[in-house]
Amino acid sequence: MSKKTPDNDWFMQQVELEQSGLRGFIRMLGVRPESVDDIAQETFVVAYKKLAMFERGTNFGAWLRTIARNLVRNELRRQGRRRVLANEVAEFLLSRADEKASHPGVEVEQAEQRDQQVAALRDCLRQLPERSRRLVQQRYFEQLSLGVIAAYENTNANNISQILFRLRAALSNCIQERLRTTHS
Amino acid sequence: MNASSQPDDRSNVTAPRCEEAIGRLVDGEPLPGDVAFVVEALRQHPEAVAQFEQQLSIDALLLDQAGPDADAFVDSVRVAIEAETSQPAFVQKVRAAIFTTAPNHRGKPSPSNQSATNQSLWSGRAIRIVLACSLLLASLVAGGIWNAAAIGEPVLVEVDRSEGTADFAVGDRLNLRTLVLPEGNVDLKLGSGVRLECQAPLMARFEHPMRLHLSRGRVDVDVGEDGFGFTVVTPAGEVVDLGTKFSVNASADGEVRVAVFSGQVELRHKQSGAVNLFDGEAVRLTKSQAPRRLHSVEIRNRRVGDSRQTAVISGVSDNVEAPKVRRFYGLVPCGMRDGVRAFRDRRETRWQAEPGDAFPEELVGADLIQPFQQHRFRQDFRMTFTTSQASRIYVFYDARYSPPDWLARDFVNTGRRILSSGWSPNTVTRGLQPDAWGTLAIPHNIWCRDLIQPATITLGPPVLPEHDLNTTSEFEAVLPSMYGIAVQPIAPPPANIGSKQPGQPRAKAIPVAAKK
Repeated sequence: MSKKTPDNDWFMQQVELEQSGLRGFIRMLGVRPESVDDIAQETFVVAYKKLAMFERGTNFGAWLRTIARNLVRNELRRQGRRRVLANEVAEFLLSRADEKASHPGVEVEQAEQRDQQVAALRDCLRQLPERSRRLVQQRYFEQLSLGVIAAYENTNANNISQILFRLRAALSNCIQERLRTTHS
Repeated sequence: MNASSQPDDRSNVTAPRCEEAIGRLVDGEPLPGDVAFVVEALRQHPEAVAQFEQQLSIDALLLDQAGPDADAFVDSVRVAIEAETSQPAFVQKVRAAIFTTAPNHRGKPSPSNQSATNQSLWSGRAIRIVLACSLLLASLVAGGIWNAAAIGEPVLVEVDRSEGTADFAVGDRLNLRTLVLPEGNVDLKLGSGVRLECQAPLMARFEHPMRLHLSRGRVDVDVGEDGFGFTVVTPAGEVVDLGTKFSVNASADGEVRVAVFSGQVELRHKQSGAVNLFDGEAVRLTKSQAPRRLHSVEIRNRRVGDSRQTAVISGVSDNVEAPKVRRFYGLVPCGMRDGVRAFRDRRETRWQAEPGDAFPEELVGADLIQPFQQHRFRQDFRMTFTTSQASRIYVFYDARYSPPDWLARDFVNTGRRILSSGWSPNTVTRGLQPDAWGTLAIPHNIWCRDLIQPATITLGPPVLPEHDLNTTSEFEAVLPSMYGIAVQPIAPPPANIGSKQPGQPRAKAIPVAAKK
């Protein structure tokens, strides 16, 4: 990509536009958080190499998601330490993603909602009780393991995992509520 | 919004067991059986699918908020494309040349001399091994862990590395019931893929290929892909692997030290029950005393040619007091060099020279302390350690920030820098541009202070006074990286230097090309 061409400029604009949604999509395929950025980066590299095969005017995001699905599928065939949570789970999520891809409208709608979801999430985070905010900070921003958080909170890892589960469910409800209010 | 109450009526439909398993899976720390349970639930209950997707979706949004900003990610993609499309082979070679450590001379004997090696093994070493086994038996009986019902089966091991001992040669394939190592270090590979790094003086025996009884000595265990459940039995308790690399060190006085380098283990103690230990945690325990935090663990330094084998530093500890905090500092004797791991809780982050510069010669071979990034948030943090001789203490402080008072007061900025490299985009790397390999590096100024005699030294928090923090919101606080520490022994000065009172540590730094 040493030459600056209109194609390159267009491609990098697409990277900027699609990167956040693509990373979310890859996580939704059951990829480990620490590997999401790697696979997203690989997806863009593959897309760049095969750019001639992309039909302009069609949905670039959907094309990226197809590449990402194939990369994750390849990941399941690899020997050694894999980058997905568990093979059987990733296979299930992949089949769900394949199914959604056959109804492009659903997938595109989800992708388009992402910006609104991010804005709603920020609002919802501000409303969390202090302890919940601290857990989000520790888990997602400081990337601490459940065991380490549990040690600081003087409880056990399983308890922290359950609290995080409820916290994510509460955030999801809050986001949905906000999106409904916005649309109405 | 109350996040601690049940979120919605979906939880009534899906069993709590399912919620727990989904939660642990999304958090990346499933227990055995969780995956199968969740897969079954996903196949049978649409509610479970909705719940799982909801959890992953919010997890993805939160990761996105905490992850790299868009510019950093786009730059990393640009660099990756550049590297892939320009000269991939060249890039790979250069990368390998930079990141590969000293050449590995551990070769296996060629097929032609393999049988000769094995023959000489049995003729030359049989007597010593039999003798050692007798000693082991006596020791095990005395130590109270010998169980006549579990004399054990011979386990096939392959010697992968041997150093400082004539009893094991690289490439040997041995059927071992007992393992006695009076001197040196040996790495053994089991058929299951489990790798045992044994450090003398060591006495142990196999009950079967997945269960080792350790009577005395240190064994570092890497269970690999297929060794899940490998167990080390000690006089104080059992350490059961849950997919990991860990170390067990049994001392002659009955104390056992357990450290986890990756993954997790379950520690079973008769008095206090089972405890899970995670990556970066270490405890010490005895038969009658429950596990308690072990502050530092010596990390084996395999570098050939180090003249000094014992650490100058000892007694590394901190003031982080919480009942279940079990994080250990890595202490690597003579371990400071280009490419060495910088922090215990960041596996990929390495100390490295600045581009175009050689690694600072004065740092090479210093004792290295590997601290934790998570401590960078603590304004009250204190770390203490003791030096056993006259030493120069080095602190590597984030060069993007002004030094905290304790550092500016007690140390001198040498004017030189090193990098902590290999960062993934993170809150600590915000604003940095990726390097030629698509990773991020934080510059650290090298500060130093000389101690002319053995002393105990306390370092302060890495964070700055509150007015210096660039805090835009509580989720986006930009803080300096945790600092690094290395200690290099120095020749003691003449006996009549200065007028310090005996026993009083030297407080002022000796200027070293002083420059701020």
